[in-house]
Amino acid sequence: MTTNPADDLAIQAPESQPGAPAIGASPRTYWHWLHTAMSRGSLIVVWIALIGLFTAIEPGVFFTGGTFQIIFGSQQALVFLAMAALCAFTVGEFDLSIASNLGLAAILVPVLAVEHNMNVAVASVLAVAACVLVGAVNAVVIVGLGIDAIVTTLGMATLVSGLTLGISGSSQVSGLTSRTAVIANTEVLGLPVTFYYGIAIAIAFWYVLRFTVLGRHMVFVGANRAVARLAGVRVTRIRVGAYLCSGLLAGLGGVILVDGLGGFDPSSSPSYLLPALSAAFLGTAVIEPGRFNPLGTLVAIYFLVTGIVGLQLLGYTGWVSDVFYGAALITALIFSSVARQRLLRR
Amino acid sequence: MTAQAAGHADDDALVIRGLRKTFGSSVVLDDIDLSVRRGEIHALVGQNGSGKSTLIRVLSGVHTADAGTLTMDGRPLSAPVRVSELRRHGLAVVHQDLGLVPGLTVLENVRVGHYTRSRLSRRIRWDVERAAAERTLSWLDADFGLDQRVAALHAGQRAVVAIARALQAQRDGSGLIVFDESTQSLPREVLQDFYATVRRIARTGTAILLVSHRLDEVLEIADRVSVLRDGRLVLAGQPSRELTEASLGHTVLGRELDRAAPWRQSPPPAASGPALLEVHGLHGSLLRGLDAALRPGEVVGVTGRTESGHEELPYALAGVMGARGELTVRARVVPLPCRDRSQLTANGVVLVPQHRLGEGLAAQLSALENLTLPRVVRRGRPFLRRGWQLREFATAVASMRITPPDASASVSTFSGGNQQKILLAKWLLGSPSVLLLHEPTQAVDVGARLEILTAIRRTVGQGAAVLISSIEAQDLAFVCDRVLVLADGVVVRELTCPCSAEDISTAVYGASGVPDTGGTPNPQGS
Repeated sequence: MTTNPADDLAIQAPESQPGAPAIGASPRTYWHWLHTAMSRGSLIVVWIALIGLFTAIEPGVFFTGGTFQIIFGSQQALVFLAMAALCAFTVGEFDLSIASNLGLAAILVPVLAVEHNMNVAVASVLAVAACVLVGAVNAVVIVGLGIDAIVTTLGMATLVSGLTLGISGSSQVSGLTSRTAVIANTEVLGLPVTFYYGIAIAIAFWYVLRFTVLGRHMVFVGANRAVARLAGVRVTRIRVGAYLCSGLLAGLGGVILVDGLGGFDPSSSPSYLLPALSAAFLGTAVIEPGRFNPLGTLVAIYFLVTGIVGLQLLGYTGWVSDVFYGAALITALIFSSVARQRLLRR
Repeated sequence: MTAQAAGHADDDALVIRGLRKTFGSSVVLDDIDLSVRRGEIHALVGQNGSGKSTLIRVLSGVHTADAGTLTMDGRPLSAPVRVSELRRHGLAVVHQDLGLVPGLTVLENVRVGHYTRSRLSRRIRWDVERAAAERTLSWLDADFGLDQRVAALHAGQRAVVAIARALQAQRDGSGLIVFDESTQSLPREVLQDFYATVRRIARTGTAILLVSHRLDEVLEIADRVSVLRDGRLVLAGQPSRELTEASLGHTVLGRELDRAAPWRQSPPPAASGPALLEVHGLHGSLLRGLDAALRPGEVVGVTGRTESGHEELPYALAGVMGARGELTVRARVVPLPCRDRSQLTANGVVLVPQHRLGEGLAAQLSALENLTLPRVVRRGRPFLRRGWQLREFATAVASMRITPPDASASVSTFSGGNQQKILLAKWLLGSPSVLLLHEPTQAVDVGARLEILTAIRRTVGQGAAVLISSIEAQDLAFVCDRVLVLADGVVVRELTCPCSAEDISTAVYGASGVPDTGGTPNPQGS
């Protein structure tokens, strides 16, 4: 505190208060506090209400340990994928190739390990590296050449899914031994260890955005590139980093997914995209309203799965998840747009 | 056309009675009574956040008033005002940014919203369109064609296009045109033409409501003046010849407009020592081999006509555009064009760009995040603590009077003047050695303007050098030690202050002094 530049600034120093938080803080009344809490936690309230509703409709069926094992034990790949989407969104970019990228990793591991007898660990590393490479190509085209991100990554998504089908011969590849599934299926407190990987990734991401210089820079690059550049932020580096990181997370998600399942159906990868985007957008309605935030995304993922599992237990079949994710994405967009307008308008 | 509404006189075009508008708990407009007569130029003045914009938004149907009535030519308007009514009554708004689509032609821009369609095919009848637009433009003495793209026109011509569009709703001699800060985006050279056009429209009988920050402009062209302060009308329809700039400033601010510059009391300590920043042969897209030097402790103004190069200089010196030349900062050579700006930022060279929300601040992020951004690298390791950030915010609030003092509010919720203060404080908190500013007082009201200029002046007291590129002669005269006048990309004159705003305008526009905004007989700062 001895070298506090605020003490000798060009603009007049304040009369007193080195530690008075009164000025910086917003007017804190009881209602204001309640309002803030409500807007931050509204989705959590809805989530609890949803659990209550399903419990009431299906007594003894929904509110069981098994159901919660399904809800919290099945979404690791989605968590990784949503964090990958968030990487791009936070810095104002768009990456639609994440789901195909996840599929690429998920197919490369069994193809290399089972069909080419490679060590699973080496195969996993190669698979993740391939995904980072896809991210690097995205970065070169979008950041380097200045091509539109949505169109580029949409093309890349199609290209990579095609490659995935080609590598696998368009059919499911399985046969990963259970020995390799240790990193994925070991149970900790009744849930697969990968659940905790997802939580750890989300918390780490949240920490980066909230408490590090890198995170602050990422948020500014996303909000206004010109402002970031004038403040000395290395904008290009951060944008490229976001695409690489997005590829990395998608690849890790794919590896974890295939390790858990033992195999992968290459035609299923596109179906992972919409849930990840839904969760990222719905996440902007909670914890830090109006902003892409990892913890909100995490809440959104488990909220969405709760709804789907509940509906499936009611007897609705597979189509319900499409309907639910689609509806959730639209609702999420409305929510986040309203939240943002409230923030921006007075 | 009968006078039904209470208090409606025959020559009133627009009458506002008891208008009230609240947002949440804050009263933005409180019991406004205002009438605009046919054929008059009525100015509406007020600081940022005084309620002017809200009033215009109520008029154009964006907001719904909580109470009160609007009548146009004696007929009440519904609440909210519908677009069809605006059309019927000939009520049009020319916005600050003119609201044109640069990629489209003049014809398309002028007639948008009024396209005549043929009955069966619903195709646009371009022959009718062309004739209508042609009529308006020739009446306005436009010197450009209907098929030119708006992007190819200069600012003065664009203003004519925007006016032409507003006139499409008028049947001659009726209606009302609102000019909402329209002159903010106009270069000084075309202002007189713009004023002449506005006067001419008024002479036909159309009412003009001119919303403006610029007191000198208001006094020059308005017939009557109304002043909004904190949502109340504190002056209603006062004839402008009964007002002076000082009395009007007092009414707008609610306090004395203190224009005495304390740093003029003692002659400026002759800026001495080696130059902090020196440039030779600076070439850019407008600059043609400019030489300049900034010494510690001085404020240097640069001005000139549009495209003289003064508007490019801050960006060229800050290394954000591809300028060439020999740049020396603190006796170290910085190669131009600048590939790595860290050499400049590390030496305390700071740019405050013209476009606040375009390049200055991230609108949707909080005031706190914006304010502290340049220092997070230095102070944010190993991780970002909130304490120093809140202290910086408190310092900024105390010294610049930022209101409201809410650190977590997003920048977009602040008024223009307060946004500018946040932008300036963001850089001043880092104690820059060279401060480069472009139009630091644009679209900022008189009160905030003074605080901003004073803060700029304080930085040189600590040994910094400041360069201000601006077309506001009054502000330059107020704050500068030297003023460089540019033409064709080089310095053609250097004025040593104290000098008056008139001196500066004369140096820029020639002795005839034609296109100056001023005409105000009280040059200050001398």
